[in-house]
Amino acid sequence: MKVKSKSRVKSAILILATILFTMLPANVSIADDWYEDEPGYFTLFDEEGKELTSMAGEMFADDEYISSDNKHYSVSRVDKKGRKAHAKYLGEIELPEFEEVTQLSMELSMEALAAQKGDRSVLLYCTHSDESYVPSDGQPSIPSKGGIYDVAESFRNALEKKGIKAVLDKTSHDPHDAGAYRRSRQTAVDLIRKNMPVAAVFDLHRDATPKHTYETNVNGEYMSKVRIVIGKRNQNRKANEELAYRIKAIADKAYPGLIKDIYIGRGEYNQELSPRSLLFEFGTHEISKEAVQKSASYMADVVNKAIFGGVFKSKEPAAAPAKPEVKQQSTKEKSYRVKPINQETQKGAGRGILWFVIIAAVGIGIFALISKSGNEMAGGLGNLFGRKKRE
Amino acid sequence: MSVGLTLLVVVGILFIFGIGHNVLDRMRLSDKTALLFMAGILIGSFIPNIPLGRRLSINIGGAIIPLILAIYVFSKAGTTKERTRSILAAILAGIGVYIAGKLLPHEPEAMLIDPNYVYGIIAGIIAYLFGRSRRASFIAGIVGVMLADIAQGVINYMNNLRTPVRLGGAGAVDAVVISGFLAVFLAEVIGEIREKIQGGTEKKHMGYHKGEFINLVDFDAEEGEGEGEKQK
Repeated sequence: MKVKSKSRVKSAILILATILFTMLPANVSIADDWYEDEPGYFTLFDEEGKELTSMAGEMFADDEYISSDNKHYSVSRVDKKGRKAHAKYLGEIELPEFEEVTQLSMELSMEALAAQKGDRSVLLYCTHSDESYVPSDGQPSIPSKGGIYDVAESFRNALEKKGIKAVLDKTSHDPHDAGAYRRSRQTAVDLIRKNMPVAAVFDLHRDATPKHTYETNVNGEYMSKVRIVIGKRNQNRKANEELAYRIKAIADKAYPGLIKDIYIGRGEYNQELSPRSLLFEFGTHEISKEAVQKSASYMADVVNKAIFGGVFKSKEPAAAPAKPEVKQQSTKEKSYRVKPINQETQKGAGRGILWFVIIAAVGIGIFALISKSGNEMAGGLGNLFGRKKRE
Repeated sequence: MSVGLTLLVVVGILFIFGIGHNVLDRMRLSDKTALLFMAGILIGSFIPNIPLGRRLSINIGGAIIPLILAIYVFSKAGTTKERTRSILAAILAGIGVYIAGKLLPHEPEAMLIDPNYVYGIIAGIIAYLFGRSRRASFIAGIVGVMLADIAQGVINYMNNLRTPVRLGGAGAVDAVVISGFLAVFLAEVIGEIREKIQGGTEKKHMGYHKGEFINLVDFDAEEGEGEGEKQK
């Protein structure tokens, strides 16, 4: 009898261990295997087979994608071997609208907003400290001294020029393996601990897709696009999404072509640590670092306005010409005022925590059911509400 | 507030309301001691890391207090066998966590379980399989992750990598703390399911008395003798 139950226990443990290990991916990959000759990136297609985007990280069913023209997709199936994924179109995302202002009210708002910046800091770090740009750095990966730090410095300096307290932590998190995010988590916590109150936390990376996927022209200047990556697995998702949408909305008007797209993936990317945490992909390994550094200064302007508010100008197509024979399309400059992000973000983070507490409570309830018998539970609850046990 | 911190507060509240006491009993901890340690982990997390060397530092909430708790739990281990098992489980968990760091995909989205929790689960499973107790699991969860970090630090030094080793550097939300708690949780869930499957504990003769698990058969016999003597 005892032998039987022991073997049953062993099988139960074995089954549980097997279930847990099968939850891990089948294709085990060693760090930095993106740079093989064969394309190491995933390509996403829509239902008609039209290419939407590509990304060095793995794509999974239920990941979400927001294209440059704000079309919202959900990944429906993934061909892991062929490194292809297909997405279902969900509709158009509504980005925040900003109030159009005149020259006079614009100057007044600038004065009012200048005082609101306070001492809230923007924190920067690079989880993959080896990521580099081949045309400028000579190789895609330089352990502990990646070219990504030069881009991060440009971004930090540009933020500081806007009067923001920007802090860049240059701690190395190499080797570029599964432990990198665990190590960069310590950096992020340390940054938050030392620089409260925090306005936003950005983890800066670069992608590993072909050069053309990131090349762009903004204001007539050649530079790199920037992708925003949001993690689905955390309670700050709404707050992070809100900042990402504001960044895209401002950039699309002020510097069209700067923001590549938004990818909402399965990872957590340390974004649970603070609301308004985002991951930026600053270009790809095939683009020159100088082109990326140029986009970093434009990004600083967009981030500044998205968080602290401000006024930006946008060149928009003017109304249709009165004379149809005039073919040249004219543009009209408009000014928009952005309010600081504060209040809405707090609501987003609060909702996230509430959901987390509900899920935790349900989980613990199930655990209590497993670990206690019915009578013990009833007794425990009775004690909790002050009822005394009957002798 | 991060998931880790929220979880720590939720667990603390549950202890106050008396839920999870059986776990504490098995770890030889009183409610007050447990809450004191948890408060220590939380407060210690806000204190900057203490430097121990050029690229080595330790966090009070993320490593020192969990380590003290692990040593305390270790000292309360009933037998030499359990102590040996705890040490063995901690070393194996360390090896498991280190290997997982090398073999798992380097992008968090490619892992179904987030890197912050996957180490706790790995340490928890290894610890339970080899430690076979809640105490051994907790010790292995805490010490295993720290050992893996130290091993990585040695390898980094040999490879001339400038990456620092910050033991428990993320405080309450570091993999060290998460692994310790997750390992106990796993041990409790596996242990309880196991008991449910086999229709009760295998150690029916054991009972909890004055902070220790004792053999009830011997205890009843002794008590009986004592009472008998008194009556005489």
